[in-house]
Amino acid sequence: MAGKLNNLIHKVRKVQIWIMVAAAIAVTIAGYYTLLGIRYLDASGQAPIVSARIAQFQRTIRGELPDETPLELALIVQEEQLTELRSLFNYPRPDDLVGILSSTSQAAGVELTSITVGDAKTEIKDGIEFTIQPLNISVNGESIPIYRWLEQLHEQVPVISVTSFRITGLNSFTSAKINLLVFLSPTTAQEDEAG
Amino acid sequence: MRIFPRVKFKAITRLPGHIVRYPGQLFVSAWNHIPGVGLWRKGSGKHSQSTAYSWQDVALNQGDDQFRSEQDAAELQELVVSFSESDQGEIDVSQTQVESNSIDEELSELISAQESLVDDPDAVLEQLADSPQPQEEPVSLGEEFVQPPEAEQSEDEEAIPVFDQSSDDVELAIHQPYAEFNPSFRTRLQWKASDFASSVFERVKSPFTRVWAYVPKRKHNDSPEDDSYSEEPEYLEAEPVARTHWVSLTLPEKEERWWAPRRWAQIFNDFVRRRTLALTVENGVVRMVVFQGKEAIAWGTAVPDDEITFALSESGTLEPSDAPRIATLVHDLNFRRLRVITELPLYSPLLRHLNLSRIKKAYLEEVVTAEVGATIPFPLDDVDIKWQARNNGTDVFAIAVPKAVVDNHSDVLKRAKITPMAAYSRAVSLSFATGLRDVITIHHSMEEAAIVLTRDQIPRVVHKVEILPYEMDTHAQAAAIERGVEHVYGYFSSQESITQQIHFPVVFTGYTTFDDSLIEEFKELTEYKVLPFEPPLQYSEYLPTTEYATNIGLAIADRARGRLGRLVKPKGPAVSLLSQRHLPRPLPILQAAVFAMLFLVGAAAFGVTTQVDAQTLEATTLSSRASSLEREAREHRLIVGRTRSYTQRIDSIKVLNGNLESRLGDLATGLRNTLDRMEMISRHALPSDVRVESFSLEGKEFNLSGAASSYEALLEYTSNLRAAGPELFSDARIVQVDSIIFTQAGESDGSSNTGVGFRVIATIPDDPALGEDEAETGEE
Repeated sequence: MAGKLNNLIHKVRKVQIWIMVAAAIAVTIAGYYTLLGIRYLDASGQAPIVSARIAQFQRTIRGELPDETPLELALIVQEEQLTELRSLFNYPRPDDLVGILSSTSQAAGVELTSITVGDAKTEIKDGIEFTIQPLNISVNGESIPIYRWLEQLHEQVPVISVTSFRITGLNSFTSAKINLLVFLSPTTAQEDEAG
Repeated sequence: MRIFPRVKFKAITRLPGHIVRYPGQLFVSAWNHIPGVGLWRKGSGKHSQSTAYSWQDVALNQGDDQFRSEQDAAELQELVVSFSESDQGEIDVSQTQVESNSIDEELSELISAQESLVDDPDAVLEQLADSPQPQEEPVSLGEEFVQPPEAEQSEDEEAIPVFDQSSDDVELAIHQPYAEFNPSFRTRLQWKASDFASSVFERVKSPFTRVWAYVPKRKHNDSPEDDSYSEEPEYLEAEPVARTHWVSLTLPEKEERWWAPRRWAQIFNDFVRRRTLALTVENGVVRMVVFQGKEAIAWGTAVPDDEITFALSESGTLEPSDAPRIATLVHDLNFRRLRVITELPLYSPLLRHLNLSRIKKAYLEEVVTAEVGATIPFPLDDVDIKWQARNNGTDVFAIAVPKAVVDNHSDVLKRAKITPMAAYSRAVSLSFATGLRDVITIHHSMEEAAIVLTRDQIPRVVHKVEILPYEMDTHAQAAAIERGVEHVYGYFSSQESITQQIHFPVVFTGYTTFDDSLIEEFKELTEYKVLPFEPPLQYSEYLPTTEYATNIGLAIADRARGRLGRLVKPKGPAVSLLSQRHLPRPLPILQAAVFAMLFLVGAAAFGVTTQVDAQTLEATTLSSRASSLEREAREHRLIVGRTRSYTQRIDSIKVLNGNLESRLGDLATGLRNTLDRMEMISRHALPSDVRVESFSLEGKEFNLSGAASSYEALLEYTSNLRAAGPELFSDARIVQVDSIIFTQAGESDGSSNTGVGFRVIATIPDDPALGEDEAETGEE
C-alpha cells in the first residue's frame, strides 16, 4: 500500500506544473458550468409550470370583481330586521310571559284565575324551528274584557296562538279556559349547526 | 500592349553588345558579332504558361566595335521595326528606346582573350598543358550565343533540354571550347556560367523559371587522319552546370486552386502543406530539394561565390561563407513553413552496429553508451551518441558524432537563419535514397566516391575512394571504385560472418554520374549488378535525381525517422543527429492551446452565465408574478366567495325574515280571526232572542250551546254565522235542538216562554296559524 502511495506521489510529482494548473482551472470551470447547468435546468423546468399557474390565475381573475358594499348593507339591513323579528319571539323565561299575562289581565279587567305552563317542545315550521311553550290559562270576567285582554295580550306577545278555548257562563258569570301556544326562539337549521 | 516582365535585360548587358530595350516585348542583344532580336510572347493563359522565344539573326556591322555607337543602335531599331512588322503587326514599336550600355573593362578584356583563344586553339591547349590552373582568365562567357537551332541539334537531342515553348524557361547555352579537356577548366566555366545565371535571376525574381546553362562539348576527332575538331558543336553532354535558382515544374500546378488565385493558393499552401527542405552541401555546392508529401516540388543549387571555395570545399562540410548563399536561396523560395533537414559529412558520424544480449530496457542506454564509447576515438563527453534498438533491444544501430561537428553545422545554418529540425548522416541518407533494403550505393562527387553498404536499410560499412579526374582516366576511376566496393563487401562479410554470398546491387548516384562511360567501365570490371537510381518518390522528369540523391535520401530517411532511445519497429531507422541543444525550443503550442481553450471556455462562461441569469431572472419574475397573481386570485376568490356568501346569507335571512314575518302575520291573523269569531258568536251574529251560554274551540270547530226563543231564531243565528263569511266560518250547523223554557233576557217581569236549547257546530276554515299539531296541542 505504501509502495503504491509512493508510486502515485512520484507520478504526481512528475506531472508538470502547467498541467496541474490547467487541470485545476478545468475543474473549476467544469464545476462552474455544472452549477450553471443546474441553475439553467431548474429555471427552464420551472418556467412552464409557473407559466401554467399564471395562466390559471389569470383565468381566475379575468371576471369583474363584484361590489360587496351593497350586499353588506343589504345584509346588515336584513340582519337588523331579523334581529328585530327575533326579538319578538324572544322571551327567555316563562316568568316573563306570566308577568305579561298578569299585567294585561289586570289592565283588561279580567280575573286571572290560573296559569299552567306546559312543557316546551320544538317544532319546525317553514324551515324554522320554534320552541313552542304551551300555556293553559283560566280567567273570569265579562266576555268583552276577555276579548280585549286577548287583544292586549297579543299586542304584548304577538307570537301567541290560541289553540283552543272554552267560554262558559256568557249570560251570567263568565269564565274562560284558553290554551295558548307561544312561539319562541326561532332558529334555522344552519344556526343549529353553527351552534 | 502585353507586358512581359520576366526578362530584364540588365542580365544580358553583362555581355558585350548593345541592348535595344523595348518595354516588355522585344529586345535585341548582340553577343559576339551576332545580334539577335528576341521576341517574347506571353501566353494568354492565367499563369504565363507559354512563352515563345525566337531569334532572328541579323548580320549587322561586322567589326570589333560593333553595336557600340548610337548609329548602330538606330540600325538596330530599324531591325526591331522590321522584325515587328514581320510579326504580323502585333507589336507596337512606337515606344522603342535604344540604350547604349557601357561595357566595362573587364568584359572587353574577356572578349579579347576569348577571341584570341578562338583564333588559336592550339595555343590554348599548350597553355593549359603547362598550367592546369591557369592564372589568367582563359575563358569568358558566351563565345557565341547559341540558339538551339533545329539544324544544330544532334542525335542526342532528346537529352538536351531545348526551348520548351510550353514552359517559362530561360535557357542559356554557353559554348566553351576545350572545356572537355580539363575538368578544372570546366569548373571555372561552371562558376562563370552560374554567376551569369545568378545575375539573370536577380532580376527575374520568379521561382517558376528554370535556368539551364549548357556546356556543349566539341568533340575532338580522334582519328589519326583527322587531328581536328568537329565543326559542329555537340550537345551530347548537356550538363546542367548552373542551376543557381529554384527549379520548380510541378509546383505551379500544385499551387493552382480552383477557388483562389495562385498567390492566395500559395499562401494557403504555405500554411497548410507540410513541406520538407532537404539541404546538403557537397564541394561547396549547396543543394536543396523541397518535398511536399512524397513529391519533390522544387530544387535548387547555390554554388560558391568564388571558384576557390568551389574547388576546395570538403564534401559535406558547411563553411560560414556558405550561410549567405543558403539564406538567399531559401529566401528566394518564399515558402513560409519548411521543415529543414540536413546531413553531416560522410566520415564525421561514426556508425556502430551492436548485437547485444537481451537486457532490461532501463539499462539499454548505459550499455549502448559504454559499447559505443569503447569503439570510438573520442571521449564520451565530446560526442553525441544517438541510437535505436530493434528486436527487443538486441539489434542496436548507434551513431556517434563529435559535438563540434554538429555544433558547427548547426551554427552555419543558424547564420543563414535556418533552424534544422533533423540532421542525418550522409551514410544514412544514401542508404535510404535508393529505397532498397540491401544495396551498395556509390555516390560520385567531384574528387571522390563514397561507398555505402546498406543491409536491412541500415548503413553497415562506409568507405571513400579518391577519384582524381585530372590524373585518372575513366577506366582508372572505375577500377578504383571497384576496389572500394570489394573492400567494403569484404569488411562487411568479415563483420557479419555471412555464410553465403549476398548479391548486393550497386546504384550510382552523384553529381557526375552523367558520365555513363564510368558506369560502363565499372560494369566491365565487376559482376555486381548495376541498377539505375530510382528513388521511391514522385518527382519531375527534370529533376536530376542522381545529383540530388543525398537530398532525396534525407527526405526518405526523415519520413522513416524514429524516436531516439526507443525500441522501434523494424522499418527504420533513421537517427537524427541533432540534440536538444540544436533544436529550437518548441513553442508551447500545446500549453497555449490548452490555456487558450480554457480561457475561451472560461470566457464563454460569461456569456453562458448571462443566459442562465436571464433564464433564472425570467423564472424568478414569473414566480413573482405568479405569487402576485395567486394572491390576487385568492383575494378575488375570497371576494367572490364572500359576495356569494353575502348573497346566500341575505337570501336565507330574507327567507327567514319572510317566514318570521309570515309567522307573525299568521299568528296575528289567527288571533284576529279567533277574536272575530268569538265576537261574532257572542255578539254580532247573535239575534236578540238567542242566547249563547258557552262556546269552545276544539280543533276546527266551534261548539256553541245556548238557547233560542224559537227555532227560527236559532236558524237565523246559524245563518248569521255563515253569513259572517267563509274566512270566519266555513259552515255552521245545528247539531242538537231541545225544547226548553226560554226566558227573554232583559225582561223585567221574568216571563218565560217555550224555546229551544241548541248546540251548534261552526266549522272554521283552515287557520294558517294553527296546524294540526297545534290543534292537537290545544286539545291537550
